[in-house]
Amino acid sequence: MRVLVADDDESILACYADAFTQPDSLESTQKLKALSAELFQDSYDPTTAEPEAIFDLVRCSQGDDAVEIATAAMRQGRAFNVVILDVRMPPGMNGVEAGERIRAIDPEVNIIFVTGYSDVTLRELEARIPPPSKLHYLPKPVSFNEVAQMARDLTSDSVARRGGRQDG
Amino acid sequence: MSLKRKIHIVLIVVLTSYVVLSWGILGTVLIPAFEELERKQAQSNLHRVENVIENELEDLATLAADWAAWEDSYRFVRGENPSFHEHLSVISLSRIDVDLMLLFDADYQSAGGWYSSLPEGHAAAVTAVFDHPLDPHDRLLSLSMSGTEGVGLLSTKLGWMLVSSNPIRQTDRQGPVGGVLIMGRLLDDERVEQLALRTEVDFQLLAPEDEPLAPELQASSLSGAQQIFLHSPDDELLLGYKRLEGMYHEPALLLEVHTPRDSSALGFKTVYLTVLFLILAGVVVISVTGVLLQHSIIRPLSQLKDHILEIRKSRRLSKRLDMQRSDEIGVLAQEFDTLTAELAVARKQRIEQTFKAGMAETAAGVLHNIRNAMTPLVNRINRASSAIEEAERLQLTNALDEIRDPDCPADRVAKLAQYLALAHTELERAHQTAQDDLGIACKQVVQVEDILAEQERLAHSPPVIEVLELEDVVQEATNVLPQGDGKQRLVCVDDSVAGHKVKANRLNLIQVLCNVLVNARESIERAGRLDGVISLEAERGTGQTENMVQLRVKDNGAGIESERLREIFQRGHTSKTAGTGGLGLHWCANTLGGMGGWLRADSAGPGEGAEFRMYLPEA
Repeated sequence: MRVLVADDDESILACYADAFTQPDSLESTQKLKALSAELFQDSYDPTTAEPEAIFDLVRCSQGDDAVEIATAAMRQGRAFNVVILDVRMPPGMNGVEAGERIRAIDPEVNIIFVTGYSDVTLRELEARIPPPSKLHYLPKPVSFNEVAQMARDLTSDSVARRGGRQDG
Repeated sequence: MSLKRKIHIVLIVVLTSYVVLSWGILGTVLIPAFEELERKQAQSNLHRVENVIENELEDLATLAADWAAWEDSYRFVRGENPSFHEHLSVISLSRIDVDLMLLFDADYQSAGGWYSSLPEGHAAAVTAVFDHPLDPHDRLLSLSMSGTEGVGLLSTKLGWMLVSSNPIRQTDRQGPVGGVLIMGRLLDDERVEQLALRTEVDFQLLAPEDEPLAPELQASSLSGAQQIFLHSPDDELLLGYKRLEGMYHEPALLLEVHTPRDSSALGFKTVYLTVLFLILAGVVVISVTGVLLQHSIIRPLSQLKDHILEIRKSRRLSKRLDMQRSDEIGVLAQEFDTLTAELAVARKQRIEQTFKAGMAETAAGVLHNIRNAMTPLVNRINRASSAIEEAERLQLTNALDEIRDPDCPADRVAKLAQYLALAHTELERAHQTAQDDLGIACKQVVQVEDILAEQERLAHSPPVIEVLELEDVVQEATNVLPQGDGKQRLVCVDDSVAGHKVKANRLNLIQVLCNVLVNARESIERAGRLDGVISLEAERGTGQTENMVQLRVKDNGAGIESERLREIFQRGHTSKTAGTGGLGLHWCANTLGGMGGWLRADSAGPGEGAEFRMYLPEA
C-alpha cells in the first residue's frame, strides 16, 4: 500500500512516519501479549489478531515535489493509493493546486487534505478536485492513527479497484 | 497652456482673420467697383467734351453755311458787291463768335479775310493764317469748290481752330459755286474754358508738341475714334485721353480730361470705415463672447479643476464643490461630487476590508501555524499516554506475586520470569517512547510559544500614523449612525470641528469614534429620549493639553453613575446585553493611548447624559 504525504512541517512528517510504519519491537510485543494471555487469561488471541497493513510511505515537504513524485510513480506503474496533502506549504505550490495536478494524472487516487487552516472551502475543493468520493478533509490537530486508519480503509478499496496494477 | 489662454488666442486669431478677410473682400470687391465707376466717369467726361466740340463744329458749320448761302457773299466773291466788305469787321466777327473768316472766289483767289486778332479795318492775309498759299490743289478749297462742305479741326498759324469750309452759292443754294467761305473759331484757352464751363469737365486740348511722351498716347496708339486711354498719375486725379481727328481724318489734338478720383477716395473711405466698424464690432462681440466664456465655462471649469487638484493634493474626499448650475459643467461637477462621495465610501470600505483581510490573513496564519504545532504535540502526548496505558495493563504485580509463591510450579515460574523479562523490555520501550514523545511535545509547546510571542510583538507594533482632517474622520464616523426622522438630527457636528488636523491612525480613530457614538446613541435609547442629541465639538488644548486637539462627544442619554466612570474603561465591561458588545471602551482607551492620545468620560449622573473627551496629538 503506497501512501504519499506532503507537509511543510518536519515534525508532522515524523508523526506520519511513526503512524504509518510498524514498531521494530512488534515481535517481542506479540510474544508478550501471547504469554500474558497464556498466564493471565487475557483476551488476546494471536490466531485471530490481524496483521496491520504495512505502508510504503513516501514523504515530501512541497507541493511541487508531491506532483513530481506522483507523476514518476504513475510512469513506473506504482501509483499511490493515498495522497495526503497539507494546504499551505510555502513557498512553493500549495496543496490544492498539487491535488489538482495529481488528480489530473491519476483519477483513481484518494486524496486527503490535512491542514490547520484552508483558504478554500470543502465545497470548493470538491469542485476543483472531483470526485467527492475520492476527496477527504481532516482539520488539524488530527490523530495520525485516525489518518492511518483512513488510509487503510481507502487503500483496501483502492487495491480492489486498481486490480493487479498495485504491488502492495 | 491654460484653457483661458487658448480661448484668448483663438478669439484673437478669429478676430484677426475676420478683419483680414473683411479687408480682403471689401478691397477686392468694393474698391474695384468704385474704380470702375471712376473709369466710366472719365470715359463719360471724354465723350461729353468730344460732344461739345462736335456741337461747336456743327454750330460753326451752320453759321458758315448761312453766310455761304447768302446773296451778298455770292455777289461779293464775284466782285459784284464791294460794299459787302464794309459790313465785315472784327467786331462783327466777334458778335457771331467767329475768329476767322476767309472768302475765296471761284479762281481760288482770296477775296477777303478777317481774324479777331487783327486791328480793326485791316484785312487778313491767307499767308498769315496758313503755312502755305491755298491753291486749287488744297483740299480745303477743292472740296468746297466742288460743292461739298467741310468741317473739322485744323492747325493754323493762329493755333488750332474749329474750321468750316463751305461753297458760296446764291441764297436759294442753286446755281454754280461762286467761291469758298472758310470760317473758324480758335480753340484758345478762353474757348476751352468756356467749353469746360458748359461741360463741367476740366480738360485741355494738347497739341502734338505738348503731348506727354507716354507710348500709349502716341498717334498710332489712339488712332481709332473709340480709342481712349486712362491714366492715374496719383490718388487724386484720373486722366483720360482721346485723340481728336482733324478735318481730313488725320490725328489732330489730344483731348485730356481731368477726372477727380472722388469715387476711389469715397470707396477707400467706405472700406476704411467699414473695416473699422467691423473691427469695433468684432472686438465687442469677441469681448462679450470672452466674458460669457469666462463666466459660463472657464470660471466653473477652473473651479472644478482647482477642486480636483485640492482633492488630489489633500486626499480629502469629503470636500464637495456644490456647484449650483444646470448646464453640462454643473452636471459634471455634481457627478464629480457624487463620484467623490462614492469613492470616499469605497475607500472607507477598502480600508476596512484591507484591515479585515489583514486580520483574517494574520488569523489564518496563526491558526495554521498553531494547529501545525499542536498536531504533533497532541499525537505525541497521545502516543506517550497510550504507551503508559499499555504499561499499566502489564501484569507485573501478579507475576511477581506468583513467583514469590513457593507453591508456584517451576514451569510457570519460568514463564513468569520470561513474561517479566519481556514486560521489562516493553516498559523500557514505553519509557523511551514516552520520553521521546514528551520531548517532542515540549518542542512543539516552545513552537507555539514562539508563534504567540511573534503575535505579541506584532500587537505592540505602533499603528500607522497619518495627518487627518478631524472633520473628515467625524463625517465618516457619523455616517454609521441613523440621522433621526428628518425633523431632528441625532448627531450635530459643531462648526468648531472643522479646521483641526490631528495625527492618528485613520481606521483606528474612526473605530474609536464609532464606538463612542454608538454608545451615546444606545444611552439615549435606554433613556427613552425622543429629543436625543449627540453633539460633537472640538477645540485646541491649552496648558497641559497644549499641542492636543480635544474632541468632545456629548449626549443627553442615560448618563453614568460617578462610581462607574472608572469601571467603563475596564476590560470586558459592557452596558449592552449579552453577546452584543462592541470593541469596548477598554480597547478604545488603549487604542487612543497607542496613538499618543487619551480618552476621558464625564457625567453628572444618571439621566444627565455623558461627555466623552478624546485627546489627539495636533498635526
